[in-house]
Amino acid sequence: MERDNHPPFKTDAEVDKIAFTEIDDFFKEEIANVSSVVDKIQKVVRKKQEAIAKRDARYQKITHTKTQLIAELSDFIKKETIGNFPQLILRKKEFRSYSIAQIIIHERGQQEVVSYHSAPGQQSTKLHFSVASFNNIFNVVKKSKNKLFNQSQVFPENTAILGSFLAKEFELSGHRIIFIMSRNDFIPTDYEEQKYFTDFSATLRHFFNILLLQERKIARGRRMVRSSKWVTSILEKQQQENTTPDILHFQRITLLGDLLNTLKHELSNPLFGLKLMADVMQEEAEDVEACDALKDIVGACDRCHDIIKNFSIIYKDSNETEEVDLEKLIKEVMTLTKSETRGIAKKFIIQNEIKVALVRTNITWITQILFNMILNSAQAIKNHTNDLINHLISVEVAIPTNSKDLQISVSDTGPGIDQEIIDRVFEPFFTTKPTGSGLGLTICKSLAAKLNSKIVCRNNYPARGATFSIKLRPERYKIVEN
Amino acid sequence: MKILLIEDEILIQKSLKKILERAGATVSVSSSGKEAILLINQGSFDRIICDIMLQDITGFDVIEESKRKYETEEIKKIFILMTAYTSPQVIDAASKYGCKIVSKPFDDLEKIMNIFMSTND
Repeated sequence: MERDNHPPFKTDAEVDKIAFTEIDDFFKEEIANVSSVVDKIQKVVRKKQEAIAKRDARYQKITHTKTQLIAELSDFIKKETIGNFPQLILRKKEFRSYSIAQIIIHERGQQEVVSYHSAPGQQSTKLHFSVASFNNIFNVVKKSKNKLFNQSQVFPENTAILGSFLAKEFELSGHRIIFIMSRNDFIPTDYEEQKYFTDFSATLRHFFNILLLQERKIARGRRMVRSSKWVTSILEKQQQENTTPDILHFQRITLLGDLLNTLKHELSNPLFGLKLMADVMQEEAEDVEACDALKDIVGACDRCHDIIKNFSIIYKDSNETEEVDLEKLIKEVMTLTKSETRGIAKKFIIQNEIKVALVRTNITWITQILFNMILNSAQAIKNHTNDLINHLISVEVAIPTNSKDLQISVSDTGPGIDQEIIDRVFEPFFTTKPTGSGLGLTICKSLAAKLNSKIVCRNNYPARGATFSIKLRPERYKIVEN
Repeated sequence: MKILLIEDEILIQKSLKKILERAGATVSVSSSGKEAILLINQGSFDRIICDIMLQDITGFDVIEESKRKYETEEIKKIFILMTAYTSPQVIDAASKYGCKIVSKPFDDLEKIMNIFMSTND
């Protein structure tokens, strides 16, 4: 009978119990599933909340800075024109060490480009450029990722910027703008500064729009005649007269480092060949004379190699600081200036007690300072007379009495510096030489500032000539035993 | 040991050849990268010392062409690059191939000779 193969029928109570257990289990499972889903949902919600909180915090920060900036700029917009914008920027404490800010604006469709720049505390200077030049630099700036540029990328008419600079381009609906900032030295900015500048520039876009809208309203109110051919031709003529060959001279100086590097590599290969071959042939030399001659060749090659190496050290393109033997460095620089100082007697004195002075500096900086000072002295003498016989350039290193500073001075027997202009010699583009660039001492001043020093000059009165000196503070140098 | 020396500075080429021959190696030379590639394909060298900056092509180009003949592991062992320009970019590029690189001029000739003549990695 079928009945025997089946498990015994359950009673109603038993069936109920099974059913309830199953239902129970089923619900427990469902609850567990739902719980886990709820957990998952809660996790997601939490993450989203965290992300929102982070974003809000960031936004608060930006808003705060933006609010600050908005406040500053609102005031600015009410009272001033875009021409004074560079001064506003230079007043910000983040840009304390910057010497110049410039804003260059091209209104779409116009033939002229206007620029305003100023140094801290100074009035804005207005310049005009050609659209072609503007386009060039605009494209260069646009392509750049780090927004950092050097002297060779300045266009010839722009005499405002010296050395390395940061620049950002803006493409607005009615205008294109280039915003430039520079410390007017040849030292490239570091990553932190670049990043700050890029972030800062991003917030400026909005305000340029407002500013320019304002300007346009004012301009329309005044009904300025802009695009007449006559006005354009006058602007173009003005712009041509602004070209200075001095900037080209500067670009050459900056290229010098690169050229010397290439020269070093081009020379060192043949020199190495000469030395190796002379070495090899010494073993095959048939007599003492030949052997000696070959030894001399090896010696000469070594000397050439040392000269190249020393030049390379001086023109090394880096921001590194190291400890430099001052006496050795000065002697190197005096070798470098040999051709400029030919015919003039030279003297180098270093106090005996400070025979080995190690200076903590970037070699390029201090080399450049010394080089310029010696060159200046030589030129002062040569521009004054053709008879160099009784003249002298002396370089002295000493610790003056009652001082802890290490003083390096370069003195000449030239005509000295006129009292009227002695305060101006460090100004950019100020020169008394017919073919001078007027930037040598400016650079020295900025490099000395990097060393926390100042360069000073005074006349040697009643003796002939002038002396330029730089004092290094105690933390910059140390005296070691020979 | 069969060595191929690819160097376009004649004095360096001749003197290194002599020094390596004195150390017992058989040395073939070439001043041109393109000629060197032909020699590499035709011959079988235990070591290839190659200057990076050649007149016609670079040492890296020579290595690339040699990939037709040698595996990556072999290239690491066989090639030694020489250069006067030890910039980070050059060192980076050389490290991609995994071979040794020596810089000219040699400070320690003996040490460099040992590297040139070394048989194991």
